[in-house]
Amino acid sequence: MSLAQERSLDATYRRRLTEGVLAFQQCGGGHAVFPPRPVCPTCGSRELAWAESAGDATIYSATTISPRDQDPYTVVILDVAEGFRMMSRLDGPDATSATIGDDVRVEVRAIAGGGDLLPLAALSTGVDA
Amino acid sequence: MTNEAQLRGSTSIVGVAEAGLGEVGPDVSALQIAGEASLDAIADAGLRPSDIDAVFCHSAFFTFPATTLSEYLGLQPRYVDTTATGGSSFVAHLRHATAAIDAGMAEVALIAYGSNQHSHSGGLATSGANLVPSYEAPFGPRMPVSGYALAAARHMHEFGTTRKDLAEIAVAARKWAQLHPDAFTRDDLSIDDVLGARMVSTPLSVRDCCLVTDGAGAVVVTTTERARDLRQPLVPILSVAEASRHMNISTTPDLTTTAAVESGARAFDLAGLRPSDVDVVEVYDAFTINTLLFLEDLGFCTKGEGGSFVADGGIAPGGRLPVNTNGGGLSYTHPGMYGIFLIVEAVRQLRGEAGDRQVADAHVGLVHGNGGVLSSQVTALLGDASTL
Ligand SMILES: [Zn+2]
Repeated sequence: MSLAQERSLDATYRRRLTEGVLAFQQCGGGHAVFPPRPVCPTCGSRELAWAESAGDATIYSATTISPRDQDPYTVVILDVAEGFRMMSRLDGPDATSATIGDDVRVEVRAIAGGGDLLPLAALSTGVDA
Repeated sequence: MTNEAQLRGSTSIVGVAEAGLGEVGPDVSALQIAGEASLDAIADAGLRPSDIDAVFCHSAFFTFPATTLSEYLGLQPRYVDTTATGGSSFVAHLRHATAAIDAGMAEVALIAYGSNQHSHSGGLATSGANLVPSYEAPFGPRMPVSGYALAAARHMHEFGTTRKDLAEIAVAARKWAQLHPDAFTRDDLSIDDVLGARMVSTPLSVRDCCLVTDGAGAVVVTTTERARDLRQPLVPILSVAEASRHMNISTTPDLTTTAAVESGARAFDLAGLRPSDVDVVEVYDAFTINTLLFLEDLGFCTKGEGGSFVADGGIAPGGRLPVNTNGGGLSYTHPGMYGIFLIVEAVRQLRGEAGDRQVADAHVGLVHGNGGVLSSQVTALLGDASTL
């Protein structure tokens, strides 16, 4: 089945995650669309194609949560280079050192302890990708 | 068709009431206290339940809210509206009621809300089930706090706003609450108390967050023509405007400017008023950052200047502008969706019945409701008889 034929937009997105890919949609006008939906909210086009993010992003905002019996983690809103905004999260040492404006890499993996594959963020190390 | 500006002052709020504020106990339902507030608001107006022909209600505690409340009170409304935009719903209901009354679809509208979230669970209950996949929940945000924390963090980054600026808002709310006998929290609160409080989602501490209480409120609206013959001082609805840009905070185009810019500008335009005309301000302060954002977005100060506007008791009793004069969601009451209580307090101020916290010469009141995660923004301007 081709991507365009998969009936559930949410399922298509999740299936691409299992392949290690952060998928988003694009209209003919070049607008990035995320989360998936049947229309471009910018121009109204219903002709959307799936695309793959290269995973480069910048932290637009960040909030750190320190649960009582768990390591702190930081929930972020990312500006992804392809032109869309999404929620993500940093764990481990990155959680407490990340600040707004930092460059991050989006990596598809599970949160420590298991669970579904998610597009999580890690601070860019400065090494050219 | 009526031009919306022609609706200015065509309807008035003729009855208000609250019930079950604080902690009502585990066996008292949200429906019961919503019913009690409704009956008291109708009595406050000098009307009878049989006069009500339109019912507006939203609740996270009972389904088909307006229909359920109507059955409970023995009402047979010909107009029913369960507009659900979170805490802003009830301010939106003012607009929808005005439209329905203008169109001759109804004459006397009841707007009501009730929640026993404190006694029921102790947790914040703000909305119903969400059975579509979330693109936020898997990352573990502590909603709704984290959504507002993200806005606060960005505001600090862009404008140099500090946690102390936000703490000023919590302290001002507490000082107003200390003037209100029914406020849930009235003990002293200092800037340092707020700064030192347990962090929930940086930069917001537990003292930057609203209360979790029980409570119900109700408002009765009818034509201003009929209101003139009723028992309470006239409180005309001068304008109401709605706006929204997102539902999920991660899709917002701008974390530091809300759709209140649009709802506020439209409300002022429709009423023929400016921010400098407003004598008393009631904005939905689910978190301290809300007050800051809305004061900026509604035009009481410029974007980024909210911190200095609230500094040094700027919005506390005796300050530059009376804001959240009952103590707000931060210190007065917060049963999940606070919007109805904004209206009740503005009406009490405009009637001149606010006791120790009464703002002198209050002729114009602004009510601003917020729903979701800065998602739904609804602004209303209310007046007294002198504004018609
Ligand atoms: Zn487009």
